[in-house]
Amino acid sequence: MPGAGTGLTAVAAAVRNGERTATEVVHAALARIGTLDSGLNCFTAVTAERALTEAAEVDAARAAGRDPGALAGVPYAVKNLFDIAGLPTLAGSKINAERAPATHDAVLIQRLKAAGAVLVGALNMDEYAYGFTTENTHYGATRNPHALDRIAGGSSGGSAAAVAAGLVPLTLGSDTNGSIRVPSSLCGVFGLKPTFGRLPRTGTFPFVASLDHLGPFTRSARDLASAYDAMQGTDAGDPACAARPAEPCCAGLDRGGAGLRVATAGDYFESRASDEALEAVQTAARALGATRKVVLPETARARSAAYVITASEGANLHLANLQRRAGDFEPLSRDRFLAGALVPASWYLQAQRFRRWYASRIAELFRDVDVIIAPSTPVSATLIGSETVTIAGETMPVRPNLGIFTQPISFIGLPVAAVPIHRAGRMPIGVQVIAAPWREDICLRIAAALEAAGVAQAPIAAL
Amino acid sequence: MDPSDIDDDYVTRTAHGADLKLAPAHVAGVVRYFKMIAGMAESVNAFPLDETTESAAIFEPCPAPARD
Repeated sequence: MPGAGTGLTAVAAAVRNGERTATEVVHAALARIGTLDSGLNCFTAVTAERALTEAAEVDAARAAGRDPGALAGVPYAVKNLFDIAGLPTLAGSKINAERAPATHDAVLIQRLKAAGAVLVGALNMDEYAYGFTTENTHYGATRNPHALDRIAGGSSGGSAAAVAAGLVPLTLGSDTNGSIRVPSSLCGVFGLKPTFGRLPRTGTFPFVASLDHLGPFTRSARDLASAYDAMQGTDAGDPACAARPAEPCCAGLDRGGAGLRVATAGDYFESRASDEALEAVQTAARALGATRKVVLPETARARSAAYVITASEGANLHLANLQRRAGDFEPLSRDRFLAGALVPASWYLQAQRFRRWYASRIAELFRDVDVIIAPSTPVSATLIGSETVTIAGETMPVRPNLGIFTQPISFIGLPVAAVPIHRAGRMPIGVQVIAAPWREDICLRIAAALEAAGVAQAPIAAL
Repeated sequence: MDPSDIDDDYVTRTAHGADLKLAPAHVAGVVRYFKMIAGMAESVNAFPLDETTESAAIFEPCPAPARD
């Protein structure tokens, strides 16, 4: 089977028990990247020398009888808004290429290194994370490995596509309004957007501090849980990071959906979805035996509030550069940033107050359900360069509307596993598995249950 | 605010308040996106919230450094 033995769990096991060396694994990953990435444009930097050094350290640790780490030898790459020591942190931009190289790795990179994983490079994204398509004017579009003329989604498009193409078994991305969940859906891979404040953002270039999350992409639920467990823990360098201890999820995965109350999201999440998105949700619901539907009230308004907060905070972060050199921004997001700089304070403040109302209202739903299944994207991947898409007879702009289902959920920081629903011979599409705050364990158990039932799969794209 | 009140002049003058000099080529795009934001904000602003609903963003005082 293509890709057998190349998933995170299989690689780590093989290196830990000596069947393979980390150096062999990393050489193979670098070779695959070298062969395939020119047609995909996932990577903006390949850190080959560092990778081989780290791999040698893992092999030396094992040879000396030391524990090489739970993720020993696993090659991984990160969205290029993560600080990598020695590289400027691009965040998808031309402006950031002028910055001095980072002096330290981001905290999550430090934790993956401590677990024995090996960094192989930095990945393409929408400029400053303000997009859902990874059509980057400066660095080129990232292509969907399942159809090279289609988008990979964004803003973590390079991250999702690299996993979908089997270049590496693990990548990291960020998600403010959907930037892990949208590309997971369009590229057909597993992704995790943890609870807001769960994983520290220390050492990453921000977008919207009120809404930014970080998380992993992999090709299986167990791999997702393993990566997530290795990264957990608080960090004082991120003011939004909760002072919670790590709550490992791997051990409980095999419990699957036992005892969990599962419902699908109705109303807003149905009226704006294509038939293929609705079918994906129903496939997941049938596999889980879920017959209930819940309505998340005022969801359209929640999405609007997230939009206002994003516009205002995103623009404020970049105000100095918008004042001095607006022409150096990505044309697809520049005018959005400029418009965001004009948002009156009263709009922003009202959106933040609505956020508190909405969070408490949705929390009430979790008295009666443990898991809510919703579409991740309204459609599967569109053609690169598309300006519009037609859904349920209505033609609308593609780029802002790919996140209509993800935005209201990240708005209130709920944990979500993005799960690819297998559709042989068709472009991938995924669902959101949503749980109450701090219950990533439930998201991952359901992801594992869907995988065990055969409805969730992330096969490596045939390239 | 009625999005139909948003035009090139409004956007250009408001940008001036943020110390932004909009290039003529950018004005149309900024008008378009500001109208979208205004439409979204109109929806949010129309929702009644009582005075006990505080902002989701709450300030936490920074802890004192450890004593030497």
